[in-house]
Amino acid sequence: MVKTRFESVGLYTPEKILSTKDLLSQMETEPWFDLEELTGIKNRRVRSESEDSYTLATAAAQDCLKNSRYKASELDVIIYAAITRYKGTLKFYAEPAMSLFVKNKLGARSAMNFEITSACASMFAGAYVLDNMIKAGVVQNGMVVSGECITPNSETAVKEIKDPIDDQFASLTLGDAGAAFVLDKSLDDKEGIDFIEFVTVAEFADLCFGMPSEFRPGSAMYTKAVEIHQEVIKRFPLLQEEVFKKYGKKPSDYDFIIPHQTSIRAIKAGLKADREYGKYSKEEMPEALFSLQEYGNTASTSHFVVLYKGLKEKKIKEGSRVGFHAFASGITFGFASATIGALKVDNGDID
Amino acid sequence: MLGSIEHAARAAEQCIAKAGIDKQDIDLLVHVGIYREDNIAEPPMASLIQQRLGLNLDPIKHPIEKTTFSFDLANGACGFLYAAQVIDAIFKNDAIEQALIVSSDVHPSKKQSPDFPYTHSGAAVLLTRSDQKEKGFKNFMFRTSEGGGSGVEGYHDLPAYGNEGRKCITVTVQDDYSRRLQEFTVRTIKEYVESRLINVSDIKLLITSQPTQGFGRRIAESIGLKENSVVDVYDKYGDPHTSALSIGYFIAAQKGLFKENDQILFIGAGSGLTSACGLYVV
Repeated sequence: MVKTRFESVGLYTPEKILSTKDLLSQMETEPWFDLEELTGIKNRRVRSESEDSYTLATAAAQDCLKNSRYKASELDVIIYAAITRYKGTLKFYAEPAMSLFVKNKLGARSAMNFEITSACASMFAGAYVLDNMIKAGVVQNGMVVSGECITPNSETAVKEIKDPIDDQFASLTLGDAGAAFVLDKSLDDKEGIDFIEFVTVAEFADLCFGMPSEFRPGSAMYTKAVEIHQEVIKRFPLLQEEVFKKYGKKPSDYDFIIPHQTSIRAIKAGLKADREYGKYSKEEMPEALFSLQEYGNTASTSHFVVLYKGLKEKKIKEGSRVGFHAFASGITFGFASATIGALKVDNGDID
Repeated sequence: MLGSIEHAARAAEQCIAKAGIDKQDIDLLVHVGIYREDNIAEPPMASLIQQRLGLNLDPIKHPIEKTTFSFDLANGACGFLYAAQVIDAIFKNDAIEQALIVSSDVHPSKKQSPDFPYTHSGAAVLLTRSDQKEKGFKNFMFRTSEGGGSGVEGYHDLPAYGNEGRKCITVTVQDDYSRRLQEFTVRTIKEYVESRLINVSDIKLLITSQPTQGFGRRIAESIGLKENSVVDVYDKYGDPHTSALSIGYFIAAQKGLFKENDQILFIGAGSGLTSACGLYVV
């Protein structure tokens, strides 16, 4: 059967670096736990005043096109796949679609455009949709792009957290980034996406909300972090093993795992739970990759910050077999598997 | 006052009951609405609707073979047709059997406001994969305009609302929107019927977005369709925005306006400017 592949990737991260230490020092009531120690997040990037979802997305898209064999005019579809849709600083757009603004900026006149939102799994949900469209012959190629201008949630959290336990603590882990990738048909067996599988465990749809603050002009995120972690750990191994069974895969088939970038401790707990459930040895488990130490949780773009960094460092290479775990409010679990081809990242600014 | 979750969920319950299916057989739930209660940005409205419907809520509690994936897909008034195209592609890959497209739009305060041009509404359409290649959605076409402005802009403007961010929305409509949208939509339809070799005289029904009163009738006239082919929603309901196409189909079904093998032309039109066409064979 036809497979699609990651044909190119693009990234944009804002210049301004904000350390966890400096972020917390702005708070009236610092958390009782050491956030950096708990999550592994030392720094995050924060947009400048003139940056927003639209600028982050278009910068990433332009970087992606520099790394791609396609011109903008040759793209068949552009999917804007993100939580945030800010343009004109903090105007959160409902219509027209952000994908239209991006399409027009790039000059992708032939592309059909629409939005996909699945919280932090948005870019992979976009990949799921685009992969299906290419396989069905509706389009030949397409771009999925995201501009996560998400640190406004941290700004609100810093001002509003008063108690030692607060649903806005998870907002302190967020960082801004734009990412993009192009999918097209694989030319051979050497590269390609094996599968993208998704399940929404809607029992817990109300454990994380992103909405405007009720106390000030700003955006906020309210996360029952402990409960989410507990419920995810209980179900992730079961769902992972079902996917492995369906496709005849196992952990040792992969060189790397790229998990959604929340917290190193939480991620390792999840991987350990899967290892124990599946009765795998430590040696069988692929290496988990992280970018959250320097970039925080960049929401839907997180996997692509890791992928881009891995490619730049030449850790991820042509032929690398990578498994992706997407987790998102919903609670949506996404499992993707791909063999990476010759992805150029010469122009990227990630360091 | 009902919000976006409840509008969509009630429509979905009615739809599922009418279809007579086991709701646990719904593989995919796609929400195409864009104005939501409290301006909720996450989780996706679709997952909140899935929760409200009790659809395959938890793999620990239900058979693992039955799972649902829910996400939001949007493109203003045309969202339904983009979702139908995506689902059509997924069906062609034999990946799923049933998909539910839900939609809803409400003022974030849940109160209908004179500045909010859309009627609070919800709708649901169940799509089923079929092996009958001559039936169902035959093809789609999507176009966006070049220059002239997007016609309508809708956003929540956080710095402007103080601490009322959850209760406010700004929707601005350009003066020439209605005229430009009609012209652009007619041009798009003409390109569609020509390029897809569609015989306009074979079209039984025209179901369109409802941006203004009489939009569907003017479109019909411009492309040579009789007025009695138009399914009107606006006269009774105003503009239900992302639910307009689903409600149009619902009204046509209720009134017995089509039978097997009839052709229905779905036309989406909205902000962008964006126009979408989909030919459906019953």
